[in-house]
Amino acid sequence: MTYAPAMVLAVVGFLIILRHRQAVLLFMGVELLITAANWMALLAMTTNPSGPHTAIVVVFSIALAAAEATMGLSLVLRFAHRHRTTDVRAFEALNDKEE
Amino acid sequence: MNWLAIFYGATSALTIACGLGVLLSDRPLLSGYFLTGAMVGSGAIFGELHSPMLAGIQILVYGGGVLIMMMFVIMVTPYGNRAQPKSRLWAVTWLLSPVSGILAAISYPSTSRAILGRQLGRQLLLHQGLSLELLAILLLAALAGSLTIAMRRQEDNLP
Repeated sequence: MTYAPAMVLAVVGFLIILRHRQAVLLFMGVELLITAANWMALLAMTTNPSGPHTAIVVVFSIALAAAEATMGLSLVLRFAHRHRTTDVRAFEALNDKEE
Repeated sequence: MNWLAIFYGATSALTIACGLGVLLSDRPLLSGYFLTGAMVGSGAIFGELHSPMLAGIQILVYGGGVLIMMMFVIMVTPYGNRAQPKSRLWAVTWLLSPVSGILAAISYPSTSRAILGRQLGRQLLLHQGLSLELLAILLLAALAGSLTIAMRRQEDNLP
């Protein structure tokens, strides 16, 4: 019951990934999933006596998510310039040669 | 149920409503605005769970960094702001977010322990020094990598 709202947010993030085909929106879904995971982790940690020690995981998670978003969005930018779209169905081939 | 639990429930409901807004809105830019709301809301939730430092980090990193970057990607690529087919599921928002908010308010952990910045800093510097250094190197590598990837080479400009 405690984790139910965070679970709902995680499901919403997952549905965003399933519904949309635009790369930026897929990243938004991933960020929502990570946020929901952090929420659940924090709920677990605040009720645990060793909470402050394990809360470091959330700090690392936020920093890793930032690094992932930086790399991913720069890839999206690159592909958008190359394929003139941000639809992931156009990014089937990742090789560098143009047809 | 005390006031903090009610605030926690209201913030949870708003955050989930913003998440559903990202899912159901028909324009990526609007989705970006909704995501900003969801991230600020989750930062507020972290604060209500007695973790002010994590709340600050969440709002600064996501609200101030990642989301600005996403908005720029949407705006720099005009084809990234193409309208999606309109969804008819907006009614779900009116049902799901209040129910989640009530669930959150009922299950609010009132006896939770505070996680303060001082404790996090001490833990990071005294016990997780190597992890902190590795994280710094990873962030630097991500910055350099993203610059290298995003830079347009001469052959990209050829017709």
